[in-house]
Amino acid sequence: MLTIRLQNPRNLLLNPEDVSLSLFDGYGRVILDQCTGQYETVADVATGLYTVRVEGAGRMIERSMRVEGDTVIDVEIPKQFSPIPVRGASSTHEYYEYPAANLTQQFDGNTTGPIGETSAAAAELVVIIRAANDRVAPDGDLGDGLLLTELDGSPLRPINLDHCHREDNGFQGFRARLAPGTYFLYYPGTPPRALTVQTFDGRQTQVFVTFWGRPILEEAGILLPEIGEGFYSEDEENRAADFAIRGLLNNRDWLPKEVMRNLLDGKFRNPMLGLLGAFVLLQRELPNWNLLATVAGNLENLIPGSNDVQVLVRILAEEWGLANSSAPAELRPEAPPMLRAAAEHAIRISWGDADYISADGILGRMAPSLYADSAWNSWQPPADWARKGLNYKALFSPGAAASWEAETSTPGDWINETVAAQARVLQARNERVDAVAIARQVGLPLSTVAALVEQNFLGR
Amino acid sequence: MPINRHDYALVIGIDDYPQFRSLRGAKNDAERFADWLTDTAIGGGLPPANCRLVLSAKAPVRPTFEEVNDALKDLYDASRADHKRRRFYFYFAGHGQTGTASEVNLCLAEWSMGAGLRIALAYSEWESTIVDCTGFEEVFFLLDCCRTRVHGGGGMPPLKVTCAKPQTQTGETFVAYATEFQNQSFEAERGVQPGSGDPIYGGHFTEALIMALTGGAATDGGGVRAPDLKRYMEQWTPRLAQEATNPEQRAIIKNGLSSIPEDPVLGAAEPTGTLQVEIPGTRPGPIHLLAPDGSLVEKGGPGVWQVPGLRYGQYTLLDTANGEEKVCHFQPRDPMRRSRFD
Repeated sequence: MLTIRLQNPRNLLLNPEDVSLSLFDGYGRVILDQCTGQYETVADVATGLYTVRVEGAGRMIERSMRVEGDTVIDVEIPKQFSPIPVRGASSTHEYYEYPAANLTQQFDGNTTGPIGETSAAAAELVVIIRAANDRVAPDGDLGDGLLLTELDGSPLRPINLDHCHREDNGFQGFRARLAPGTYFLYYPGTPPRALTVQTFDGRQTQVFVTFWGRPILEEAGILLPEIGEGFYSEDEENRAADFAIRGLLNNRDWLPKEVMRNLLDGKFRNPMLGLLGAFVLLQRELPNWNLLATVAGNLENLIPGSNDVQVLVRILAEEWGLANSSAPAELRPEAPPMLRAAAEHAIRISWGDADYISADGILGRMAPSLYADSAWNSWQPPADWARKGLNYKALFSPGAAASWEAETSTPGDWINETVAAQARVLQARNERVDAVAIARQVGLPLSTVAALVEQNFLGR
Repeated sequence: MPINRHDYALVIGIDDYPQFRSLRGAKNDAERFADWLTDTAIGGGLPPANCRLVLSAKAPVRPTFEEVNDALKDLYDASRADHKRRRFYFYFAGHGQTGTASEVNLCLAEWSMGAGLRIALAYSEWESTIVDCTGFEEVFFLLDCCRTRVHGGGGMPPLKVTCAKPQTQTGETFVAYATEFQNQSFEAERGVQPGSGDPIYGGHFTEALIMALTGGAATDGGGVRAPDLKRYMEQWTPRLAQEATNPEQRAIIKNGLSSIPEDPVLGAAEPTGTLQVEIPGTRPGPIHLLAPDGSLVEKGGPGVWQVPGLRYGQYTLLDTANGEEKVCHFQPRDPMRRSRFD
């Protein structure tokens, strides 16, 4: 008899119901397949060699053992990787938990002066960049040219050593007061990337980034606590939000079941968890529209003016019915949302409402250059942003080497090429060159595609 | 094994991506699979003319989209005259990208992140054309490529084979992706070239495929049944990735051949082979070789053992003098791998 016991390491959020267990015999035959939900699994097996495989949070652990008589084997539930130093993640270390808590909780913990008008600075932005562990902590500036910018690319503040708290173990933290609004964290290195961050009245937008040769913005973790609340590594909702981020990145529903149950009960106070939960729910084949409406209503109270929530409300209006929604159907985001899923939903909405995203607006300009490797809405900005950043750096650090100037290049004319290629396929099949069909195929706003189709293919 | 005159294959391997990151093992993998397909001893038994192997080159950059379309069209035309056409294999090794979970685009050599973003085969369209228009009973799609998302990425449908009149009875499919949606497929060093000593690279997915087809997943009587191929590859692809310290890579395999009464058999590999074990003089023994079920297979002292007739599985070498043991995975046809009990 073989007993397999799943061990839940200290404070790990995943439960057996979130992991799958398989058992193979020594000939590779499947004895148990993808069992879930039990801490202890008992299998009546003959003497011999066996391999147990446990999968969860995108990780796999295999353990081989010999079974002779009654045998018990303990296997740890896999831990997730995370840039957020939440308890239970394999990449969390106490020496990063404490400085993160200190930086975010201290009342006067700002590492730089207010950004913009002091009177309007009712929000906070924290950017924490840290190494994977202290043994691989590099010397020097972990920001590596990272800048906070306006939506047009105008630099606001460099996330460098002059404006950060730095510790020897590979921790660098930035904290500043600023006006509620939407900004970019812009990395001009290779590959260049601008990550959308929104700040809210009375809240601290916390961005956690791992440094591995560069700040890995695409795998960032973002949280939205109230100012003064700070970061707690043991906060269940933070840890759940972190799982949801990894899940959204992989189009997977990795929100632990218990957390989803709380979300279903409307019991959440962490707006990021609500936001992520809503977009995880939207991935499901049959979304629970009643629940989504409740979550959206809760979010409107927690983070009024959120670009992501505006997209969510518009989806509700379209899918669930205007009568049940509190928002007018013509509502459109004034600025880009933080979540890539929200940006993609916005693009989808534009296929039925070309005015929803203007080709000349910020989201319209971002759409052809969006990165798709992140849970967050990030894009490759135009090459001249790097020059703006360089000038800014030179201004702050006269004589600084310009070596970090990025070899930026925009996707160029791929839209023309792509629209033309798609049109050729339609023409080869004797089908009408339809802007909506092409926009759907290539994942661009209708306004962007319609202009090109009109210029090049109308009447052919 | 008889020659399977009614089976056809399109095998594509692309290492050369002049405007992107080139690969090192895709061409080699495609050649290995094509070798298995045309092997009449234990392989697929295809006549060489029925197997089109399309490999990449740097200058001029190939294959072009046109060239791959021509290859499919040639096979389509040849198979139209064959009223007993049975099975079609579509194999691709190279870069892949996707926009949605249900799609993967197979990047051709001219693919790039800029203007060449859609110089790729839109797999779902190629699949539906091959399945709906060619009239094969069984179609195997084996795709050793990434499924990472690239915004604006896409691919092109086949242009030279179209369904003028869709088949009334379409074929059933076996679809194997090297990895999950949003994830990467990896390659690793697999050995060295005899003579030159240059490293040989290969993808974990194709390695698992070849291991399965050459005996790892073989059934009594010879050959590999589709459910066994699926099971074996699902076990071994992540294991090989883990051994190479790559991130998790889980093969996703959909065996849709359910309504075919007999499980289709691929090739004729025997399920048994000869295990080679070297026992050094430092272990006077006696040494026991134990089967996966714990039964004694062989016992003896130092020297090179040749133990024939073993099936794939985990075998244990036990030093009865001190209780030390070593567990090794035995593959029936892996002459390169000789275990040594240090």
